[in-house]
Parts: sequence; C-alpha cells; structure tokens
Amino acid sequence: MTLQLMTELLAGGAVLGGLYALMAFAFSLVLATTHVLNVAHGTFMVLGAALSTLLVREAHLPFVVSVALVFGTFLLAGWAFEEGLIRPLQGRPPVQVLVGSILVTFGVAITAEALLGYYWARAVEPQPIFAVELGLPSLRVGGVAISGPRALALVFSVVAVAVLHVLLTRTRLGQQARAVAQNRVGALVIGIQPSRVARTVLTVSVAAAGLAGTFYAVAVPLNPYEGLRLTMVAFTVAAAGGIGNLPGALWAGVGLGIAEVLTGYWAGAVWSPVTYLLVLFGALLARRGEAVRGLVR
Amino acid sequence: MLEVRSLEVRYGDFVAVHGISLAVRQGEAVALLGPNGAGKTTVLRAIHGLVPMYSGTLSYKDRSLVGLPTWERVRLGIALVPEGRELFGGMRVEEHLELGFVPGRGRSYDSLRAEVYELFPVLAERRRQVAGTLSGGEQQMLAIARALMSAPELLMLDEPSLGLAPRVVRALYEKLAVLRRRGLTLIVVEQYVHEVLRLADRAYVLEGGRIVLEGGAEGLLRDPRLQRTYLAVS
Repeated sequence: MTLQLMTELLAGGAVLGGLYALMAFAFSLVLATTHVLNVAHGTFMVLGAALSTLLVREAHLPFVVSVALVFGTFLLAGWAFEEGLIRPLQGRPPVQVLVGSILVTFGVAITAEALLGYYWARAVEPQPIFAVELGLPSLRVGGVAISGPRALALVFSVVAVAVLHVLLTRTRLGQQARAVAQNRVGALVIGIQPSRVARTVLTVSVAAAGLAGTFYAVAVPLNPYEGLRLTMVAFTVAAAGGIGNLPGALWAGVGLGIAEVLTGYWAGAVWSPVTYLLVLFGALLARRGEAVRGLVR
Repeated sequence: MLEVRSLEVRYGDFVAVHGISLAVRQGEAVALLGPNGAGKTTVLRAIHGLVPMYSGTLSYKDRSLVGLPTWERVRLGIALVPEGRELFGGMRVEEHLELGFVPGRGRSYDSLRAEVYELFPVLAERRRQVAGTLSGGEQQMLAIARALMSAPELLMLDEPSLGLAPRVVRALYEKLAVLRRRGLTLIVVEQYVHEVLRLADRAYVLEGGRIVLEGGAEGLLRDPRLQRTYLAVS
C-alpha cells in the first residue's frame, strides 16, 4: 500500500468518523439526560438525506436553502416526536423509560423506513438512493486528492460539534442538560425542569440527525434501509466514547470511521458491520460498570 | 410559614410517614430528629415535592403546595440540601452556583454569589475546581451554597453532618448559625443531636414514621426520653 493510498483511506475514515461522532454525541446526550434510547436516530439521518435529495436533486433548490429547510423541518419533527411519543413516558422510573423508548422508537424506525422506501420507489425512482450531488471539485493537499464533497462533510461535522459544545457549555439550558446528565436528583432538587431539558435535547438531537444525514448524503450515498445500521454506529461510538461525553465521542467516532474504511479496503465492505460489533464488544468489556451506571441510574 | 397537617407518604404498600403534623414559623430553626428509617428524609422530600403525598395538607405562606412540581416550590423560596449532597461531580464550583441561581427571586446572580463566597471563602478559592475533587466538608458547603443561590426563605438540610469529622461539623454549624441570624428559616434533619439542638429553637423527634416527642430545643437536650429513642437503636 502506498503512502498516498493510506492517507486517502485515513481521510475517508475521518470524514465518516466526524459524522459518526456528531450523530453519536447527539444520540448519547439524549440517552444521558432522558434515559431515552432513540433507535430511530439513524432513521432521522436517512430522512434528512432523503429530504435534501428531494430539495436539491428534484426541486433544484440551492444547497444552502435546502440545508436551512431541513434544519427547520427537523426542529419541528423533533419537537413533535418528543411531544407525541416520548413525553408520555416521562415521570416513569428510568428502566421503564429506557425499555419503553426502545420499543416506541424502534416502531418509528421501521415504520418510517418502510414508508419512505415504498413511496420513494413509486414516486421518485425504483431503486431509491439518497445522494446530494454538488459538483464540487477535488482538493489536492500535498499530492493527496480529497474529494470536495467529503471535505465539505468534514467541515460540517467539525462546525456542528463545535456548535453543540458551545450550546452545552455557554447556554443555561445546555448547562442544565449537563447537570441532568450528571445527577438527575441533584438537578431536580435545585429546581431544574427535567421535562424542559428533555424536550430541548431531543429536539436539537433530531435536528442534528437531519443535518448529519444531509451531509452524509453529500459524502456517501444512502439507501432507505440504513437507519438501523447508523443507530448501531451511534450506539457503538457512544458506548466506546462514554455516554454524554463529547471528546470521547470524537475519538471513538473518528476511530470507528477509520477502522471501518480500513476493514472495507482489506476485507471488503461487507465486513464493515463486524467492525462495529467488535468495537462495541470491546467497549462494553472495557466499560462494564460504567455502561450500566450510565444507562440505569 | 410552613404548615404540614396529617402528612402520609407511602412507597408502594409501605407507609413511610403516618400522618405527621408540624408547623414552622418565619425565622425559626427547627430540628427533625430520630433514628434511621424514622421518616425524616421522607418528610423533607414530601415538602420539596420529590415524593407524592398519599394524604394530608401542606401549605407554605398560606398557599397550598399540593400538586406543585419541585421547580415551582424552588421559585416560591423553598430550597433543599439533600442527603448525600447530590452535586454534579464533573462540574466546577462556580457552575454549581450558576445552576443554583433562579431568576425572578428579586436578587441578582452577582450579589448572591458575593454573599455565598463571603460566607464560604474556601469556595471562592476553589471556584474553578471540579466538585468531585473537593473534601467532604467543602462538598457540603457547596451543596448549601448551591441551595442559597435560589435566594430561599426556607432552607431544609438533610443530615448535613453525615460523614464529616466533628471539627468540620462544628464549623458547618457556625455557618448555619450565621444564616439563622440573617433571618433564614431552617429545617434540619440530623442524627447528630447536640450540634443541631444548639442551633434549633424547637425539635420534633420521629420514630417509625410518627412524631413521638416535640418541644423546645433546650428542654429536649435534657429530656431522658430523647436519650431512650437513641439508645433504643444503638
């Protein structure tokens, strides 16, 4: 393997990894603050990819406009998702919220994927592929070619992670979300409203998933049935990096992205999911106690 | 200021508090004493809205608290320093003060923070430090400071002396005496009887979810029945 090929593989892994880190962090923040394990997180990404494809490829809207529309739509969708399906679980013991949310969001995921696949195949194209083609030129950095769309996706991930970091550390609601994640009882006692925090965190996480899906489709095409795979990735990265831990999600996301790309190169793309399982298994072994405490507190 | 009548609290089928009545006047310091499992913590949790009341009435400044969520009680001026402190281990001292601050209580963040740092100078020194790295006494001070940031009129403390060395407990009670002199109404749950009875005006002694003894703090200190309650469990 040449150095150039290696660098290109690493860059490809980093692009995937940035998106993985973003989705995993949003996913695990929801888990840490609300005990909701959102199985539909990856499905929201796929829906974001589908909506952007519709807006850019079919409706010929400028990309920037479509990004704004996706963001607004997914904020609303996240709010409705919380209000309609997650709120009824509020106030129950954490284990019931966890199990109930897995059932409810699994239902959302398979229903949304089936409907999306069916109607897209009938109305748009028989073999649904969500891809946002922007016609960006490749960049050459020191003799290594990096595709323009992938570079854009990487820039987006970095910016989005930075924005989440600022929201969490510099705003009152973000600070309250961290407090709830660290000590729910302590937060309740001093007058923080967990239901308000839960609504904000879920809404933001769904909007982040929609945008992550958009930029995923810029870098790599998606099909309607990849939602659960993406949720699996989010879960793996969250488990490896630590529930609700932003730097941890960054390292674990980039690490998993690179591991996936290298596995795909050496063994073939069909082996990529095995990478997730191995990393998840290793992470759960290494963090036995912590994972359990993080989930059921 | 606070009136609890025939309060009953159940956890499933288990009755933790059997129809307790107590009253606290403005500016008073009241101790709740009793052995482990007597229901002291449950009474505080019910006043703060952390556990549902099975029956009874609860009013604060002539306003019923029944059915109000905890965050609304905090906005009315009730604060709790919970058993075990319940701090945010990975967050800095100053962040605890920011989180404890409640807008709309008539005090600015800056003035409350200055007051808290004046009361607990050690917290000012450690304001960039993460809560998990503080000593036990400092953590207890931080838990109190966080509660004071909501500008409470009624401050409830659940076993503030738990796990602290006698010297640290004494220092802590000196701070509580300062708060009391400033007019704060206090309810203190303790097993450390002597320190708290020096601070309190009155005390209630609980056993098995019922009040078995009540009266002025000085009288209780010499009351042989108080000795019996404690000797019975140790």
